[in-house]
Amino acid sequence: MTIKLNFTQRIDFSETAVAAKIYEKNANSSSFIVDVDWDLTEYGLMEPIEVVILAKALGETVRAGTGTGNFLKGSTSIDLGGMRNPLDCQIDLKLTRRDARGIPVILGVLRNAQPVLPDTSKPKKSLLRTKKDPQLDVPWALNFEDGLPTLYVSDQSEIYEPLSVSSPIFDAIVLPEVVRQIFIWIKLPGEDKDPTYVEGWKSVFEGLGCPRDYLDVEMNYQEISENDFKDLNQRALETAKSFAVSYGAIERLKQEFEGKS
Amino acid sequence: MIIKNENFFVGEFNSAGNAKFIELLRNRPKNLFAELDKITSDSNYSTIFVHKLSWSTPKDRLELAEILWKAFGINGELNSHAGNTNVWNWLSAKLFETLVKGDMKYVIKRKGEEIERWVLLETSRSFHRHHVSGPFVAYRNNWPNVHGALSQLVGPVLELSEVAERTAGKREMAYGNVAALSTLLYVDPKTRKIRTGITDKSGEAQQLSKFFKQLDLTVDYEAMSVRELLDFLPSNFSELVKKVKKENPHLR
Repeated sequence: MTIKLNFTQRIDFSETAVAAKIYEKNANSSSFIVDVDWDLTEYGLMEPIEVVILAKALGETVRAGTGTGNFLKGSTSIDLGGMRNPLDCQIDLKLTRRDARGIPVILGVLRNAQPVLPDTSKPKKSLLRTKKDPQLDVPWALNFEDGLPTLYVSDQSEIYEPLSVSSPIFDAIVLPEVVRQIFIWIKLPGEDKDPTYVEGWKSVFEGLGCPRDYLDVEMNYQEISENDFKDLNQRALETAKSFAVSYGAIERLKQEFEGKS
Repeated sequence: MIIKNENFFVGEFNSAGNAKFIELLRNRPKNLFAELDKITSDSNYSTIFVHKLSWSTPKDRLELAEILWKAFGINGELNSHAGNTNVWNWLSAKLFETLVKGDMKYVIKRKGEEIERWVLLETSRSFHRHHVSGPFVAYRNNWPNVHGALSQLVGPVLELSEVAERTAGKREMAYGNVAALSTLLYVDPKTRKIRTGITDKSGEAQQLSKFFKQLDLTVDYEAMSVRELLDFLPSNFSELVKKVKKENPHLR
């Protein structure tokens, strides 16, 4: 087993350290509970240290302190009642200990564990698979492989830091173009597209204002006219623009520049 | 229709309702208010529940949160719908004309605003900016110590202050003692408004957000008490900390 250590000697736990599952509180309600099990027995931890579990979604956090007992292995249930997007919730596990000054230092952490969703046996996957590629000598590239879009991002951080995935510039410049390309991919004919991803992206595009009936008709190369292509490109551009606005990318970029000025 | 003091049945949009609402917000036609009335009552777009919201015109985000809490809070009849984005979108459409005070000129002027201020979208990353559910969630995140959420709740309903943006925009700061710290630092206890003269100065809200961001992986600051947090802040916050301790002797 590999244990990752960073320069602060914090342990970055592997994803297998936590298993989480979301289920409905009551049938046909929008209230959910997440059960979280953790197992840190393979990390050679000896001292009684506190484990903190956080269920988090956009702007919302439910925190469950578990005390210092049984910190190596345990389980807890967290009520996600009222979260606006409980099915998007992710789990963080923190292992903490108060230092001599009383500051709760994080000794180990696992971030963004994906719970298994109701009626599925697999964790929810992002609609946009993202991979780092150290060989990539352009900042990013979108490929369609295994029937789904995959965004490759250069791992050469010294060169492409301004366009890193956490940068507002990335949100404002790269992501709308990614959306535009995926829109065209959805509409053009192609075999072996993963229907789950296709359906997911159609819902996103519909939410961005594109009529569903347009999305549901896949184009046929033999029947596509020049006007159809123009229309496709126009709709893809409009959808990408809607995405940039609704996603807040432009707003965040503006704030970033204002913050630096 | 502008809603004043009355009770109305709450509903939710279906996907056609959400799409229509987005389309209307994007285009903002002259008859926008009438169209919104239509889609919030038309069964092709909406389903109406049997529970009512007791509405009175809120003067600020806090009052809006309190009104919504009575319906969607722990003991509210609509509590099981508090996580339903289709309900929040429906409520946004229902209250749109009321919250903009029937001012169509204002609505047109704001045409370029982010749609996510009115609609919760799957792609949104800023749920806290939602005019209707944002204040409610800030309130709920801090209930029963809702006073701690004041930095996110003071100010007009349609205006998110810089302090609220920074506090509610960083999940770790939106609840508990870190939220309470933000309130102590940035809300004037006498006026219950954002302190004057705190922007572009040492210790402003953006600096607080950046400070905590740097510690996300090294310190579990969410577990610290308000007093510990005050003593933990770096020197650029010293003037504000001094002021807070003067106002709150128990934190010295």
